[in-house]
Amino acid sequence: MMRHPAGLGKRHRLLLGGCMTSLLIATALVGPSIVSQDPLAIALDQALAPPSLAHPLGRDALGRDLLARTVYGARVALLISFLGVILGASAGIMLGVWAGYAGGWRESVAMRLVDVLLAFPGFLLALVAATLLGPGTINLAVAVGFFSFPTFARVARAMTRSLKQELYVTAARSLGASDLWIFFRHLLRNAAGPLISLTALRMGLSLATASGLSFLGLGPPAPTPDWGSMLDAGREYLWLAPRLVLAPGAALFFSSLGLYLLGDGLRRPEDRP
Amino acid sequence: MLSLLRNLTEVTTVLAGVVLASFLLVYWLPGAPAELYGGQEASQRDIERLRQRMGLDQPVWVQITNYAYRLLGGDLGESLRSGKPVSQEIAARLPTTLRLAGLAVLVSLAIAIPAGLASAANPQGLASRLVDWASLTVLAVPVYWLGLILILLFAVTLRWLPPSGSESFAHLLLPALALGMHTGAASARVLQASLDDAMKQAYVRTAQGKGLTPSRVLWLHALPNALIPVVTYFGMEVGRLLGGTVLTETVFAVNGIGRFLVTSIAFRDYPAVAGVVLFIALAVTITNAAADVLCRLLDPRTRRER
Repeated sequence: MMRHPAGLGKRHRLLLGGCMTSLLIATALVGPSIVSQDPLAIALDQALAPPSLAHPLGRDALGRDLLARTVYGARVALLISFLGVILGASAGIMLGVWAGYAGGWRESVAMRLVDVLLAFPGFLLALVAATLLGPGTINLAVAVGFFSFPTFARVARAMTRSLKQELYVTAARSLGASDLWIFFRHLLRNAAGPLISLTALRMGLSLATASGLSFLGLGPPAPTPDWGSMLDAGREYLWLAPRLVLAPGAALFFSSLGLYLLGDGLRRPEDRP
Repeated sequence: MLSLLRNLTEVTTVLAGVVLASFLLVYWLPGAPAELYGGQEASQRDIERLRQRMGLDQPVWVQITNYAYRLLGGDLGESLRSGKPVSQEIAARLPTTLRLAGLAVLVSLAIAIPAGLASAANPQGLASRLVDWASLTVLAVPVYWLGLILILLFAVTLRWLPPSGSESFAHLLLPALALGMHTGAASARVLQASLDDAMKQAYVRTAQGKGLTPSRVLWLHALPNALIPVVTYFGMEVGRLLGGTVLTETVFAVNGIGRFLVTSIAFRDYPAVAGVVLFIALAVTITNAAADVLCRLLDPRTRRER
């Protein structure tokens, strides 16, 4: 259980994280229409051109506008991390709540399965999944989902086990409510708060994981502006043009930090991570 | 004793699951391995012969048994790329990765312990706030970007350290810094929280009441107890460290098992991929179990609780 010193209040984190995340979402939504340059337009004669008024961050090794690519990259980043977390979270929550509610041998089997997945470091799990699925935007999101799945399953199961003993669940059952009704109406709803904060936190982590995978060449196909593959392409020019690494990396860092602060700020003191 | 036994069965189940998963990875997915081994020029007859030689024509359960049996002898199959046993390939690169991970652990301890102690002395103070912000910030930096920044700073601009390679201690310094910073920041937070908790305990009040100096109370009474969660945490971090070596070794061109995994993926060398993944998963499971046992030895209360 983390305890925070008074100086950095939960409200500060929530506010700062919320602002940063809003900025990320805004960039992904309207950024491309503000930036006038085409992120895919190649101009080989302008390769690695330094920053100018029309191209505030300069051009990359193929002469493409770095600012436009970084801004468009927010779309891919947001799409993959959001989709990935939603996939991992829904599958994990379903399994966890079901296991916790069913109890007995079904719970044991489900949780051993989760234990096996947890034996693989999260990044490795996503790496293996991405390798098997092959490159591509949607495949990357699914791979990132694998990364969050066991965590959500564990948390959801632990919460269900404790919620199951609440009086209102017993009351609902004795009133003849179906398992499905209890599941959605009582268990999922009461577990929602902590799960939402976990979702924001996992989105930050998923963003780092997804870009790490595309850094290794397992991300969206080549011309797509994506921070991870931009970092991979840029590191060859670390000596000549460090901005190729600094711009997408800073965007990535800013976005992860925002989501991280948001998730941390949303967490109530009594919730376990 | 009984709980230890239960732990053992749990660990065994997980290990069995991990072995099964890696078996599926090599033999079932994606596409037939015999076609991959044979290459593009292989005729249908060649592939049939290969399937026979690899035992792929046998029932699945026979294949699994054989796989597990060979595994017990340390046989992870042969690399498609080099033709050498995967276990040999791993063994050749493991010392480098272990050196890197060990250095990273030292880096993280060098960050976490002073940071935790500085903030424990005064939980509301400036140092504590600084540690809190700094650790949150570091945790949001992707490990490979941190690596690139370190190269930019120490190798390109200052020219103090080599940017890549794994030949000497100096080569491993930057990757260890990149890898250890994350664990350091995370464990600083764990230590901060657990020290904060320990300082509120009755035995600390007793020690203070006896008239011991604040530093004696902190070092001799609070710290030893506060370190127990950190030990558990380090056990859990082994996984993240080994997972992190994949990216760190790639960024710094360190010739360890992480980079071997990445190059094997690029070459679709599935036996090698499965071998490395299996090896890491086994290492993680075993260290987690060991950390569990160590905690029980360190903290007598957890022995009775279960």
